[in-house]
Amino acid sequence: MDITRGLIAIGAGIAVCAGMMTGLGEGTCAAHACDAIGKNPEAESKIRSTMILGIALSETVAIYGLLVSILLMFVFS
Amino acid sequence: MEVTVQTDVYVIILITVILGIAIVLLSKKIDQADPLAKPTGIITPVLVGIQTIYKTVCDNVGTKYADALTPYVIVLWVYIFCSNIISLFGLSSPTANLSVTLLLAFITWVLIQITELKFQGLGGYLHSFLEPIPVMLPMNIFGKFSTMVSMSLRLFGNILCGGIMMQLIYSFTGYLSGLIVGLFTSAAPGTVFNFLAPVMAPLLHAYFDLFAGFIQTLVFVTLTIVLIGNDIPEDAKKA
Repeated sequence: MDITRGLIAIGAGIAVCAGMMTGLGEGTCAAHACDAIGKNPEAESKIRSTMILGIALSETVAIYGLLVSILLMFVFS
Repeated sequence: MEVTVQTDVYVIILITVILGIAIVLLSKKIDQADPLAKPTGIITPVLVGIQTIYKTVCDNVGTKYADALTPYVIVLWVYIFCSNIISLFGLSSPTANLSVTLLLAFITWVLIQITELKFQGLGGYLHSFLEPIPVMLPMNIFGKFSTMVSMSLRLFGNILCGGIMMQLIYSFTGYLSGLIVGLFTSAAPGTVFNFLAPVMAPLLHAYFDLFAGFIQTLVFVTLTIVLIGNDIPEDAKKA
């Protein structure tokens, strides 16, 4: 019985859990950006670029998790 | 020794040729246009796009260096966006290849290092490795390279993930249509035409290729502009 493939699949599933908290963080970031635009409508362009930057930087963690799981699935199995 | 050429190379050549022809034709048209008259036809969106990018660069880098950086930013924008949406035409995205995104991020990284060297001087640049305390030297060296690695992996991961998702969708709809046809006839699975894909795929293509490709292009270009602009002191930004 080949147990390795199953273990690799479990590992890939655990690795992609890195995106769990990232979704929460990005949602918080967008919510606060909405608050800030409501308070300061004239600073919308600056707020938008800062928000995209923050979201992109925090998204990196999720992408790393995804890459690890893709590596596990397609390279090691 | 056998040399294998990845299919991405042909797609890159195709994109470069198409963009080159388009840029030559557009610049010829812009040269012939009357600068005092109202812009017409294809020139209007091109001018609006270039002005928007120029304004964004001016906000971050300052008016003095905007002229030098804007052409690079425009080429980066057009090239990455075309690479991301080429999967709409059935070709594989070159940006789903780590070599391509790593090279793009490397160019940006070299520009950042040149900006730091220019404004901090060689002594200041080398001393920034020892701050705040000299023990941080290995971490600072990793930190310098992490910009390049994270920028390339972000673009690569997003586009690769979109491609894999679309492949999964296509195999799923193929399986599903085989199942539905198999209920009524005795057709073998795998020989049935994938008739569910034209119904389900377009919306997902619009999300994974168009929307995600646009957002990732925006993020890559914004990061390039902001990271270069951060290294220029405020008083040097004025023309």
